[in-house]
Amino acid sequence: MSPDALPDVSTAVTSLVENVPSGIRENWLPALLFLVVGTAVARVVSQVLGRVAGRWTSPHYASLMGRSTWYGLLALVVTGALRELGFDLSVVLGLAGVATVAVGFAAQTSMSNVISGLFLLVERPFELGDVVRVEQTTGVVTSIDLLSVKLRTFDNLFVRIPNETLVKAELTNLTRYPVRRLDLLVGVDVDADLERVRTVTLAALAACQSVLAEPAPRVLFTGVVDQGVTMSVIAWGETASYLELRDEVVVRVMAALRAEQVPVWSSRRVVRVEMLGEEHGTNA
Amino acid sequence: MSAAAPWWAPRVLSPGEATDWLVGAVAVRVTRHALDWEVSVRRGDEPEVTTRLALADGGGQVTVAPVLPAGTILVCPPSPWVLPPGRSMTCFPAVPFFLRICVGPEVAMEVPSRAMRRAWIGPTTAGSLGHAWVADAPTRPGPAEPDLVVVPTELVHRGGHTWTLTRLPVPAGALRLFAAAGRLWAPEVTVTITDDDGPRVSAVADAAPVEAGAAIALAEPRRPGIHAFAERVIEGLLR
Repeated sequence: MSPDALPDVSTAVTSLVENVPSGIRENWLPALLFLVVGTAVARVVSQVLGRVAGRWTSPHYASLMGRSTWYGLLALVVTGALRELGFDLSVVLGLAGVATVAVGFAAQTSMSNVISGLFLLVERPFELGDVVRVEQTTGVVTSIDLLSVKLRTFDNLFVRIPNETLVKAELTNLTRYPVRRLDLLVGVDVDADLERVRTVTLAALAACQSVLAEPAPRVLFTGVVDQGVTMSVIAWGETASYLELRDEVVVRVMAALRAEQVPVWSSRRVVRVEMLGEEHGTNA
Repeated sequence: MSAAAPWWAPRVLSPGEATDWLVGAVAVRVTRHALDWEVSVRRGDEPEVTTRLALADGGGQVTVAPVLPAGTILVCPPSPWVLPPGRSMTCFPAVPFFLRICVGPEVAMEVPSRAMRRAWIGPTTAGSLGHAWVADAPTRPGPAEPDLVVVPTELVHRGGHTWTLTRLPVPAGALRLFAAAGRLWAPEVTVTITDDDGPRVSAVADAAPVEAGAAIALAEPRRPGIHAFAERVIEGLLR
């Protein structure tokens, strides 16, 4: 830029300032003050409300209440600041309608996520802290936001799932109910005394700390396969300690069967080769 | 402490001193150290578990007292009762309790007098955690056992079909606890059986049962009736 051009810039800036409406020039300081103080108050109020709500309701609703309060108050503060500057809000609202259509076309995916998020809030298939499985991903719900839900997987990965996906996909909430059933399939040898196997397995389940006495555990023989009989071990435990339940049941049941010398069938194949002596050219 | 004092009476320990309790098969030893407390618990042949507790001095007073569990105990009689329609009967199941170990006013820990298995009470979609206890439900109180509480239970069958009683709910959290005639007692519980709901607790008395005679109150309910009532109302509204 040449030095001769500087006066032109200066003139342009002066002209711009002179053309700013008098309301903005006179009231920008109170409006800014209103905006700053109002935002701070909105933040404090929404946080306090969220915490108070957290004592009486679930974290999900507390978070929802906090966020709604924050966005609501923020909208009021911004509106108030604009009024302070002398803006005619009826014109702004009129423009907002037009802008909504334009933004809607431009941000179709985002709007779809927002609307899906509203459906999720109403339907409430999960809450903060629930463990959910969506397609191949399983994790703890850490945040429910306007556009997406954030999960922390058990190998400590951060996963963001768009709300639209959650509405469309099959979602399993693993922690909705307080107790959960464990189904363990064990194959026992076809020659085993099945009633004895049932008694031994039930005794092993009764010794498991994590297995609930009610609903009572069950042992059912469900079929016959190649080399054995399939036994279904059904045990109930608390959802919160499901991994411990599975671990304890497998260890104790297998130990009990081994102690009773019950042959357990597995997918391992035993190939028995019988030599037929001279016919195959060998001499035993 | 006088020789006649019951085992739940408070004891006072000086620093470095220890005291023992033996309630049924549960042995408890509490030692007061200069700055902390040590509690050792052993049940039957199980290994001893020792815990160090950073509790206030409490004036050196330590108490081991009986309290009933907060939840429901499902009594599972090995031989179920069969009740024809319209029949009523009274039985006397005896259930375990918890030994509450307190240092001064602070609760240090609670230990079950006998090992109970945990059980889910109610539908699997909503309910609460309680205990299951395999025990007979005799028609008169059995021999006195120091680690069990006798709960007189009146069974009223209002259903139209013969009912086989395999599970008897004892609302332990709503019961007071009394001592009389060398054993521990809970007030009488009425369990009504209907065709729709099966056995449900319909009434809980407040006073010691008649069978106990002159009794002294040892502990108040963990969940007072009003709380239990409020829970039932909320549960009903949410159902």
